[in-house]
Amino acid sequence: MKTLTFKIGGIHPPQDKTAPADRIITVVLPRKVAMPMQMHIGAPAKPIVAKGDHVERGQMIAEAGGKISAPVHASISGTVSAVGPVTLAQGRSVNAVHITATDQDHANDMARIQAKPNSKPWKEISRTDLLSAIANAGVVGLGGATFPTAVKLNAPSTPEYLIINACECEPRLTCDDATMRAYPDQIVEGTLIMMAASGAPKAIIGIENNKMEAFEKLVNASKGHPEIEVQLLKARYPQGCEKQLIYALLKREIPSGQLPISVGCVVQNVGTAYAVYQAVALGQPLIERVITIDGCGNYLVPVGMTLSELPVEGYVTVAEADVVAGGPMMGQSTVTMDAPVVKGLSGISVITPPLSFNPDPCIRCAACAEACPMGLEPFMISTLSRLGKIEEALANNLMDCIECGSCSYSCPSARPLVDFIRYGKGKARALAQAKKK
Amino acid sequence: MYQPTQKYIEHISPHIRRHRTSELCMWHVMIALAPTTLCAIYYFGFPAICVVLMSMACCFVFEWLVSRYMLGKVNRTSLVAALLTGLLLALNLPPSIPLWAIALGSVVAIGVGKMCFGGLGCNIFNPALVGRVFLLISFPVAMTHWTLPTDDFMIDGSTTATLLTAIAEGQTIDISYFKEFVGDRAGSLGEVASGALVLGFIYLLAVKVIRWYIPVAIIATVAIFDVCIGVQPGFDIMAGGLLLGAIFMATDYVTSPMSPKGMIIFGVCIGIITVCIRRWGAYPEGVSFAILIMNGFVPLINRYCRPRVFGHKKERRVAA
Repeated sequence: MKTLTFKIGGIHPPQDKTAPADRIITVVLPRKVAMPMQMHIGAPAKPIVAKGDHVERGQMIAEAGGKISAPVHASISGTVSAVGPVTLAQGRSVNAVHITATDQDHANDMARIQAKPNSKPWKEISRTDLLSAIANAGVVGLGGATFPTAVKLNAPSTPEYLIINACECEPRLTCDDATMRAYPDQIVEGTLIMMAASGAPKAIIGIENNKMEAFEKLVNASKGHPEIEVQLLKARYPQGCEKQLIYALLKREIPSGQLPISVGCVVQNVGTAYAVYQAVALGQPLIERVITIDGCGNYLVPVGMTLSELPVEGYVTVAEADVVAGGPMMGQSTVTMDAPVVKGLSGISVITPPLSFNPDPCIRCAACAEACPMGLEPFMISTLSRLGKIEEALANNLMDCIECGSCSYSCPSARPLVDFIRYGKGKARALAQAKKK
Repeated sequence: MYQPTQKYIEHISPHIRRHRTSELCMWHVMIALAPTTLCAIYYFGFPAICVVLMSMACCFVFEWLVSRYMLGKVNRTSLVAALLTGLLLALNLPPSIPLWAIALGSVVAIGVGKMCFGGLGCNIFNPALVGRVFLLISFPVAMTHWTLPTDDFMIDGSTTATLLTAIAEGQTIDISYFKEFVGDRAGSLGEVASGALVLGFIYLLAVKVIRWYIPVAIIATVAIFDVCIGVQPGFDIMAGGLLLGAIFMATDYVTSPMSPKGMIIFGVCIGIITVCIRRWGAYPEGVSFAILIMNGFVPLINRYCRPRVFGHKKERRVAA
């Protein structure tokens, strides 16, 4: 089979995928969790429990707050101790349901986890029921964007292809790799469910060639299903971005400003496929996920568990570090580990020493333009944004930037290119809003 | 308990960066120029050492003075860039040039060529070439007083014409390509050893500091043009400052186009102008002028040779 990749730009950052992907460590359920109401893109979920209520593991504790939203479920059984704010790792404060478990609750949960549920048949379920099952399980995109999965699967037109994003092109993260190695059959099953839910007749799983073991396992698991193709891709960043992935697999270019459905595709993360399988076939809502702890391993963690309580062994504490929620290319810096695990957290990367901010003048070497996977000229739109010339930046295709950070990564003068482009995009959106009013 | 750090440093993504700085690129260019410089010292002896050291020192000092007292802040990368400018200027000078002329050339190169525009990254013209052309026009005698490579450390070796001057004056020349390649001939410090320059080119390509477009476009254009007008191309390529200019001067990041297409247009134009000046112009040597002329066109080239944006049908229109 030919190994495919995208055409324009792209970089090869050091992989540093040191967290072993050959096993997933199951974390013992904590006695206390905080379930944030905003773990997805869209309207925050509305709590439907009050202080003092007793909840079961897997019970819905907050309903979707709008059309684009997702419900939240309790990840442990226990009593609601409070409905109030919690600080996320990035420092933002959001509303959350706090649950505390007694010894009895904890023992019940552990016993229930031991008794593995049987897979239920789902082939007879109608498309609408599948979609509502996925929506009610609170499944969101686990690649990091956390867009509600059911909304994405319910595209305005029937897609030709369901694309499963198994690139994991971010350095350091191995959570998708670990998930694929541990649950290849379940992922194929989840893919079939999503094909049925979206109406797509074909599916392609795109996986980079630095994950050969996962690739072989998926090929074996999908043997009886000719409608699922597993395609190998050349490891390159940012292959996991929708536009680049679709181009690499199908040589189709999403027109500027449009969604993948405009070229007949729906893209879902491979972790989402597993979550969909759990939601539909096992009836388990999204209450746990696999996260990578940089350099240590992969952990199956209940959503809402405090990060600092993770039983990470062999971790060396450093005096100062840039601790990133997600991978080093697109993740966000954290300010605390006393924060709950959220649905969109793919891992924790620890960058030592942190980058210093000491930019040199631009020497017009064009390294940024060469690296840009969108064919933009980052040096120009970044400067225009910095100077507040938003109209001119827009004329230079500011809004086509996917914020992958390849330009900032490549800049030999260490200029904060993507930072100013983000700033410019924010300003442009504000301008557009103001014009509407 | 999982607590990876005592102090959280916040940074906007990406949180990692490629291990290549502008300064490192400049050191790479200087390493690539080392064989050429050593050849010059081998052939011209002590005067060559004086020229190189004087030029580098002057550029460095002027850069520091201007940044410290006029721009208000000293930038390390910019100082390294000044060292490189000094080295390139030296390699563009004849070994017998008086030291005061070098100092003057350095002032013009750094002051007029670079700092006037706002310092590193802002200049339109290649600073080393600005210095060189200033000297060439102001002190034509000193700049065209060519000494043959000599073994003894004497300032005034035997004087001769360079190959290109000889051609321009209608003399017949008698020199083998081998001599040109190893550098046994008269000329500027950096012109004489073509082999060393090619070695530097290979090094720059290997460490990915430059791309092949500009040098190859220049050399290929000169060769094709020469064939068309009936001149031996091999000679034109190795004589004079063509290789030095094509490999080290025209590829300067700041003063060359950014897209591969632009680079090729830039190179082709330099090649054509060079041959025109050499054959029909008043000067025997045209590379410096050709590069400087095309430097002026770089903003225009950049404007018309822009990459196609992903997801857009046609090449986008030129925006202000």
